[in-house]
Amino acid sequence: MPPFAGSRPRFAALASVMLLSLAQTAWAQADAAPSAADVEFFEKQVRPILAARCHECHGAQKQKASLRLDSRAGVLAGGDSGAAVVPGKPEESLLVDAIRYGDTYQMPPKSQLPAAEIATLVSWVERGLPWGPDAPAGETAGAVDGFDLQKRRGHWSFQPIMDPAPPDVADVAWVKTPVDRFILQKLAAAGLSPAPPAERRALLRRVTYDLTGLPPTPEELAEFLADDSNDAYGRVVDRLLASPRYGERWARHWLDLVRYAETYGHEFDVDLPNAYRYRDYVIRALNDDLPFDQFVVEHVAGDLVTPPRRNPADGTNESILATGSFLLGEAKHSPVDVRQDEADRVDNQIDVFAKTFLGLTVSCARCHDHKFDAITTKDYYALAGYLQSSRYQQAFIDPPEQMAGTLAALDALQIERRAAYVEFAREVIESRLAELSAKLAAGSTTNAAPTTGSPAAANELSLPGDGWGDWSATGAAFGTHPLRPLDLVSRQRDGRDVLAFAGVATAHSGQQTNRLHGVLRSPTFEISSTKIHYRLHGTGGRVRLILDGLQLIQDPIYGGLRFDAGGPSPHWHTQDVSKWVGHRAYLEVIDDGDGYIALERVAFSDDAPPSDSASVELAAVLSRTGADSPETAAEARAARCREVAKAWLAAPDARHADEPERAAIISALLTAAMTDDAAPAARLNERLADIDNRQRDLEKQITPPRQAVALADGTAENERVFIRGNPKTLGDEVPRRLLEALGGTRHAPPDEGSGRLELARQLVAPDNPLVSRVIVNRLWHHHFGAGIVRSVDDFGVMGQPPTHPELLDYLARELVRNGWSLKSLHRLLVLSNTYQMSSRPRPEALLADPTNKLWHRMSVRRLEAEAIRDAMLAVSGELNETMYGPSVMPYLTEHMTGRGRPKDSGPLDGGRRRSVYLAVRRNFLSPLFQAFDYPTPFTTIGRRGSSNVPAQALALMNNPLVVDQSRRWADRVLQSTDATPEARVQAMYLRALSREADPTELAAALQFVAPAAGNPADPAAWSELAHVIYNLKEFIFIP
Amino acid sequence: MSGKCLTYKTNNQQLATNNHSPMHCGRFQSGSLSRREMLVRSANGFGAMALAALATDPAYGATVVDPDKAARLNPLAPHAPHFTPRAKSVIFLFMDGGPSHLDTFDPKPRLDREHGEPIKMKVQPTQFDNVGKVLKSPWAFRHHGQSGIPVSDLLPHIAECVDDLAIVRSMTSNFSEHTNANYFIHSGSGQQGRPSVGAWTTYGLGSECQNLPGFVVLNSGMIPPGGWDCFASGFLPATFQGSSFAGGKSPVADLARSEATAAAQLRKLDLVRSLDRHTVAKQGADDKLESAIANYELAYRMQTAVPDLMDLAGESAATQALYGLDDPKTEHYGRQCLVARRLVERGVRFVEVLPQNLGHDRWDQHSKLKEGHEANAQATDKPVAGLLKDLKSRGLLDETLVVWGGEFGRTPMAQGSDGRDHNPFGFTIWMAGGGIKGGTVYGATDDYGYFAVENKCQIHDLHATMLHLLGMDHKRLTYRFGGRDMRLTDVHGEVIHDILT
Repeated sequence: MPPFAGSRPRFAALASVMLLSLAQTAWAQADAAPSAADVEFFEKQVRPILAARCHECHGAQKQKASLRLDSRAGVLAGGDSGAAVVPGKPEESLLVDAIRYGDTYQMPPKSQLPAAEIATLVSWVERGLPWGPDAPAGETAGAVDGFDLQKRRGHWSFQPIMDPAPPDVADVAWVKTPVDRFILQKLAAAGLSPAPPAERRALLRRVTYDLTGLPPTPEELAEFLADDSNDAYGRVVDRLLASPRYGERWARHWLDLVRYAETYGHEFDVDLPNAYRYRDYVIRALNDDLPFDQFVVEHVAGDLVTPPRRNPADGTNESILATGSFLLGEAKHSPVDVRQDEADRVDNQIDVFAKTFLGLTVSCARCHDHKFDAITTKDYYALAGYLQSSRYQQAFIDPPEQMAGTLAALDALQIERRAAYVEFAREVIESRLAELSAKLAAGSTTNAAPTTGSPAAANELSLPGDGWGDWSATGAAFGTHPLRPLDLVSRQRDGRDVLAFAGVATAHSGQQTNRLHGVLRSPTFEISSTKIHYRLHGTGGRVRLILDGLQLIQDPIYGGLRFDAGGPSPHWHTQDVSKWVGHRAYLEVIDDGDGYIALERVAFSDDAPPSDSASVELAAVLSRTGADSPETAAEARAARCREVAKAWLAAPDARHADEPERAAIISALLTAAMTDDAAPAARLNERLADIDNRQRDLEKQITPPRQAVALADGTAENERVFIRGNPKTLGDEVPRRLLEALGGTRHAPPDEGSGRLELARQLVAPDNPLVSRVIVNRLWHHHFGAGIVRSVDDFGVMGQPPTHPELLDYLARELVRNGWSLKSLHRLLVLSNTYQMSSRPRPEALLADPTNKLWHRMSVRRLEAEAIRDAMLAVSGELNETMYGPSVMPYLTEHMTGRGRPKDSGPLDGGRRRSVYLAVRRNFLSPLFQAFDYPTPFTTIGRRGSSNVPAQALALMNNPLVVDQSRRWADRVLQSTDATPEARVQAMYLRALSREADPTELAAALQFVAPAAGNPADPAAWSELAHVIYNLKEFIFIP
Repeated sequence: MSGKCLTYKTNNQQLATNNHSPMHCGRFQSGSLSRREMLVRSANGFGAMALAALATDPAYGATVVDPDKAARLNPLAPHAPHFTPRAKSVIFLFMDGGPSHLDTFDPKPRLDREHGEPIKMKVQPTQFDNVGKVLKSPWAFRHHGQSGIPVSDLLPHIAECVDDLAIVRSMTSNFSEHTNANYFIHSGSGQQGRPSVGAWTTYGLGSECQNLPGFVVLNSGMIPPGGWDCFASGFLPATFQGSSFAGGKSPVADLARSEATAAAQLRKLDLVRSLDRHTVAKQGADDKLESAIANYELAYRMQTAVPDLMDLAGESAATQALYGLDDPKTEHYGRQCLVARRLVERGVRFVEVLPQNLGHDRWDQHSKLKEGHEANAQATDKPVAGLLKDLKSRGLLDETLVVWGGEFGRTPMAQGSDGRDHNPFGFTIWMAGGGIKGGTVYGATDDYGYFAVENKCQIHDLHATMLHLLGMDHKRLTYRFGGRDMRLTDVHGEVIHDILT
């Protein structure tokens, strides 16, 4: 099957290989000395051009793209894209293409050469590339490769994780968890002492915000203050870690890493369906304390984990949801260069993957070996292969057992139906077989040339026989295999549904019922003809040609890549793919409604669709029954009819090689019989009516499937190096593997499928020093305001070395020792005395440790955008604690304009839901959030900014949400039993700031609400006070 | 100048008084200085300690902070450029959709000669893939000014200013799609999430104006494809993101006072301030807290500074007429251009003016080139010329860089019969003002106007030139993010010296 070769031949690559070999041949031929005239031509006309136009970038000083044009050897050796010239063949020479400003290169880049100079150089190539005698002999082209993997692997983060013992310290009394020993040791060495403990109120506020993103309630505060037992704080930590609010809080941190969004951005900000299921996955995983190694494995290969982890509440596939993280990036609907677009998407996926899990900027190696880190371009394309072998899907996540009963019952009905049909056929044809066969034979006297019938021709994409082979069917609609020719389906005939043979092998989404949904995907193939012809029928659903992984198939350019089933009569649909010859693609046959879609054949050609119809014509079948004379031929045809009918009636389920022919003959016999006696059909319909009724009852049990954005394995493919990042200039193929510096070359490349599951296991293997270090550092960062490695997403040379390397390794080891439990790690950190220090600045310590790298005190931190909003809702008493589900649409202000603006605004208060449940629409991010440094979801952001802009003050002063919440809070305060103004003020302080107002504050507040008109419960005045408290810095800064 | 800028008000009353705005109520001021404030301010000004802390935090990038120049806690404080600047401010007249260079500043007689014939060169893939025949320009070109530079009859008013323009006819972009091309011309990258050129500029220079944001986007009702991320701060701090000023009563988000009266708001803010001060005094000063407190002053001032800015009543009838405010066709865009002048007058560093909604697809004429371009030109030609003339007469043009251009140009062959598709391979932008050599034409496209062939310029070159005129070396304006010292120009960009004075 030429269209789908296993490797990825591409024209440009082939061309460059060809060029190279030709060049070598020519080189050998040209060893004879050039003629004097040629040398003179070169010296007088060519060399000056090369010197003036080329040598600045491709000479002794610089060798851009590793190309030197100051020696003949250099020209022939070429650069990253291969030989620059094929002597004697200007049309095949890259250099000539470049100076003519061709597709791949335009040189010199600033301005095209004058036409005369171009002509001279072309002529030079035609003459066989003569060179003068003074050319530096034997000089080779190309820059020296300065990449030394072993040396670069010496960087600290690639070293094995040590197992340091917590150091001995003098002040043992200060130590609450081993963390403190590491911190105290360095403080002591610097002559510093740790800060005194934080006040209990401040500590409760700190840990509650840290772990749940919400303030403690006054009740929680009172309980903690009243509990003077030794483990009062420990119990608080346990309570907070057990709270569902914990997962909501920390999921948001994680979502920053995977550039979580629910639309594709770009021009029209198209929806990314079901993205919220990924968000819910993260919340559940954190709340359930899913071991982090498993979390990583599910992110990389959750679709391949068997058996998948299931959601205990509804049995849906939980593991697969994590893979959605790869697909949350920006996407375009009409990229003019679709291959480049695919390369950009994969680049973003690699960027996010590598920063998130490895803390490495692998993406820097897209165009050249990493400038600093132990990452080569080959490493980059080795990873790209995994994504090249994976696809986007809206996975069906319902538990298989949910529908198993219904499907089995539908199967049983189908068997009943078939039995009724066989019975009917027996009744109609058995007694009249001789007569009917003769009639058929006589009516088909044509001597039509024998046809090859249904077997797929070489230029077709054949459907598999048993199972789905290298195709894949998800959802229930397409069943476990394509229909066989003698399988029965419901067919429209004369406006009515009748039972009939499928006739040919058919991928059919209505095998059991039209109510099921499903998607069928073909293997990946290379488009090698200008047209694709589809033989199909159907009353719903559609076919999509997924070109270079392009999912957002929309006009103007790509509209033709998808088409509808086109009605119940089998027909050819022809797709013009002349623009995409040489591109890789696969088919998606989608049934997501109440109709069906049936695909019989897919053929490739430059012409019209195959002339033979897909279903087998009786005449053709019978004409193949060869005979010498018309008389004996008729008898032979009749005999065949009889023989086929008898055989089928005797064993209707037996398999035969000639099923299409059999289906044609028996169908014809039945039709012939029915023309003079409609009674049996009426009886059949009666029986079927009962079966159909039961079917309709069963269909009522079918619920719409739940789906989620996820990865699926596609056809396994290695990627080739894109020379200088350009998908048009291809280098060597690289087997799929993890970075060499992380041992990627020690493992055999995957032999089937994408290999992501093996990759995932290598990531979390004990010899990978990065995954555990990176995650413990992220937790530290969020608890302490800065990481042990401050550049949390970059553990490379350009990042920061750890301030406490032993502590980092100790924590990484502890994580693994505790079964990768993140909650255990949280405990270790927040129960430490280091975490419980006061943040109050001490001038002498500040001077010695101005950036608090030694953690001589706790850092003051500003709440993140979401925590600020959530805190307002919590304090006003409005917070709606509903978890999970589709996101609340954003509240649209008049300033949020542009393409893709949702038709309707969401509610001002976001349904009072926590911020993590508000929709993240790439082009319509909340301005309120953006003012407080909400990150643009485009890459991994492990460390948010904490800026200070007037928009923040303006928002808290004037934003309608803040004003509205102030009013609601005041209403609640006034309804409560705190009768006196003093009591109200204190209740408000406790709720918002976790402390009571001191006398000065109380007096100021009381004076502020003092009734101008004698009403001590004036809602307006109390609303103003509530607004004041929301505007206090103490409300959003956590000491 | 009509809009004298307030300098950033410190809490030192004596310093503050000489910048007293008539709109500013003296009540919203601080009390006495804390011991710590004294300590810090007497050393190096507001927030010097935090500044020092940030300056030595390399995770934020080595060049982010220069303690000698910038008060980091007021990141918009002006800082010294790398070298003497030629311009202080930029007005970017973004011609969203991609105006046709072939119908404005780049005459191509070959189009007239071959009108209606198939184009005789290889055609690149285009956005709509509906390639028609060669299409001549519906407008005649005439020579204008001392320089005699040809401009089409589509833009008669800008043509009058041609001696002030440096016209770059060899601009190229990397993208054929609006969204990517918009990100590219704004941020030097075709992807979402990178800082806009306006953000880089304010990051590099701060702002001369302390009661308005440093980077203002005048939103006329059409947001370019790609949305607000065209004006985002990307990985730079949110401080530098573009602030949208819309028309109408509330040009800025959350600018309108939520209280019924100014007095009610002041009473509230007074209480906020005194309670905040009280907390700081009790709990020990922290620089983050203090800067957040100070931030309220700027926010408060913006509430009056922005409406003042937008109120054009004080502009003379002649000035208003210069911008075309007396004509419904030009009134809207004219108003935006006039506001742009008022913004740079007030020291705002970077102003971008977006086109208005004319009921069709901005400069993006895939069909009906004549009607569409005419409507766009009618709305913008006179206001743009008015802006240039007004800036010049006020002596502001010398210190303001005006940039006019779209994200790409248009094809020499028709799309369908009467439109032009996107052409990123060669198009025109022009610059005027501070440091620009007027009456210059730079670079050239081929005979068809399809590809830039002489002195090809990249968007990166445009950015490098803009930064250069503002006194910044595009290679030194960096910010460390994701393991790299990021630049507006990535690893590209060369200043176009030939168009500079």
